[in-house]
Amino acid sequence: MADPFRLVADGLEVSLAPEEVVFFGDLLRLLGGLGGPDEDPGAARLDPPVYLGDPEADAEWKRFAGAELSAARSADRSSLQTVLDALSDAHARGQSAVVVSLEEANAMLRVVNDARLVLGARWGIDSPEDYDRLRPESSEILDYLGWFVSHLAITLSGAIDS
Amino acid sequence: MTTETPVRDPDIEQGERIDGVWKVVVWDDPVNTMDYVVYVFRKLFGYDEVKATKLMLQVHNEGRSIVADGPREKAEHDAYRLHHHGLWATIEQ
Repeated sequence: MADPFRLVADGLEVSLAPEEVVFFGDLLRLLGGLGGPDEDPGAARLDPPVYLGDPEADAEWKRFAGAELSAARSADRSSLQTVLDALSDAHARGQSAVVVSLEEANAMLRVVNDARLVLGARWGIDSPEDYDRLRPESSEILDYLGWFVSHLAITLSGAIDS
Repeated sequence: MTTETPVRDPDIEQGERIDGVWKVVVWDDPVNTMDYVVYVFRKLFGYDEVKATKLMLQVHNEGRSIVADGPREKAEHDAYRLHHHGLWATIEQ
């Protein structure tokens, strides 16, 4: 698979195919339309308890941090939408890559990882053995997103090292 | 090597007396990738690759790892940052 990321002086060069831009747009809609944690295992996965065995302390923490976390995730999704729009513009000009800031790259990493967590939870991935029970198309999606997340994380590690 | 006796911040000492030290625990999950978890530990806590990898492997092999500690407010902030990155973190004394 072609390398879609390259660290450059002012950030990260990201190269995605038009169908990948469409797919990540679908992921943004997925994350923007999560249900409540009681009925949507994907939503529950993104907001696990912080205080085990102490529901009162956990509820207090969620009151304190929940809105802030939700706003931070919304900002991450907006950032990714901006990157996808830039990529669409680049494609219209016959180009395939854009340079994004490291902040935008990290937001993209979090959003794509969140999407993978949500899909994994909705598809019942509770243990490594559960992957064997996935439909082939679901398995392909998780594999692709896992490759994307790992590859982006390794590339961004280079910015920590430098 | 210095032999100077470290001086503790009185505010921190007071906070620890009241609150104690809280541990930040990251739990294993079957979806986050190993490379991603190592990166998050390095980015959030400034750990080098060796320490971050060791902590990730402890999470993977033992089911959990204490990745940071401190006063309750700091532990909650660390848990918040870990949750923002999709890792399941809890805090405990």
